[in-house]
Amino acid sequence: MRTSFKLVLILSFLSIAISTATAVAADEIQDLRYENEVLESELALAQKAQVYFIFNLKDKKIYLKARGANRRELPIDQIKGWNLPLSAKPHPLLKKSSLFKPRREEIDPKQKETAATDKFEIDALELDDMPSRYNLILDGGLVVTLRPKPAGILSYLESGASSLGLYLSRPLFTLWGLLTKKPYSSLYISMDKIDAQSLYWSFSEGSQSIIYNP
Amino acid sequence: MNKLFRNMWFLIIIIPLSIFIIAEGIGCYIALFGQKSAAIAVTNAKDRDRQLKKLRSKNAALKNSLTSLSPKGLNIVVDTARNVLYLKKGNKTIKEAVVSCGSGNVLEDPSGKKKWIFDTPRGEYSVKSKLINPGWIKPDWAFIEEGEAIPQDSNDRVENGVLGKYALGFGNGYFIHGTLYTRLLGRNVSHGCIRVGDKDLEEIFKEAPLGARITIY
Repeated sequence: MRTSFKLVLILSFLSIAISTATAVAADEIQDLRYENEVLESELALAQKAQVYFIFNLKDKKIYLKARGANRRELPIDQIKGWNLPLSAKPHPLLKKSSLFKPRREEIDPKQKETAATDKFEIDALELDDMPSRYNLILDGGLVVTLRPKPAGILSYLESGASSLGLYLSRPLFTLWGLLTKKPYSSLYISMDKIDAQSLYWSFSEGSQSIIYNP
Repeated sequence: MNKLFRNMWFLIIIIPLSIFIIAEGIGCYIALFGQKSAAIAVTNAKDRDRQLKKLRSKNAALKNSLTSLSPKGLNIVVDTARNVLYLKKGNKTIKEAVVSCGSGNVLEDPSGKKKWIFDTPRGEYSVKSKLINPGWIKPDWAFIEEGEAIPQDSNDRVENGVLGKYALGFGNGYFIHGTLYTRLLGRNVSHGCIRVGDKDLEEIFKEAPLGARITIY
């Protein structure tokens, strides 16, 4: 009786060990397969003379890259993904949308003549003029919502309200996407304000990006 | 009647709320279970090991291919948002210089036929020309901006001494050059060119060969 109990225990232990090892290997195969797909996509982008972006959700970083080399890293504070695509194919940026778009100054030659005698002022579009709250509409129905890291009570309240709006609207957009046959997925990212502004500055319409979400 | 009215209000609230909740539920279901990743068929340990080996070697090959694309020699990287130029050897920064990039301002021809946006172009370029004591051949916009007439004689377009001692051309009339307005370095004030201080410019000019890669973002 005791021997058979021991045998059952050993067999159970062995079967658990084997099934765990198989599951781990299957996971590793799936991870490697996905990573290779991402690398293949990146290789195709890196072969062209362009700057591209990798949203690495595992490292919580946005990499600005050219020819496979990291040019800038923007750390992410918080990520909330919804219905994110499983494929590693590149998503070109279709549109940047924000409540307050940065406005370009129109040079008025007549005004310039008079301004020469007045006090000196710089009218230029600079990093400070970029919004830190905006949406990036990527190809394939992916909407990336960028928000600055909350700091202060008001900011936390706003962030909470924004999150609630996001949680309620996402399922509806997903359903609407299904009905209109336009896929919808969303990625919420909060990051340092200056980094969010830098991303707005550098990520221009038509630029390519890859979402790495292992 | 009163009861019916109360029921009406009840329906007015309940029906849309129910539709909303159902829609939310379906939306959540689609998002959570709508996408299926490809199942991994692992039949036996031998097959599994073979697959893993193959994937690992492919992974290493892809990483090598990516690394081989990154610049090995001297190259220039410009961050137009922060107005910083990095002189790099491979991926190692050997010099950092404060520069002035494009103002992003817009100028329109009084006739309304042409418009210029003074942005520094983004992307990848290469050093196409290296000039010592360059003269500036003023384009049309320079005259329009100053409210002057565009000259007919091309000699009237040349202005010396405004681009500093050196200039590195990277195509379409864009240059990395010197500036008279050194106090504005670090600000976005140029017409698209990259303005550099004299000392930094000299070093960049000496170090960067023709064909050196320039990455601007």
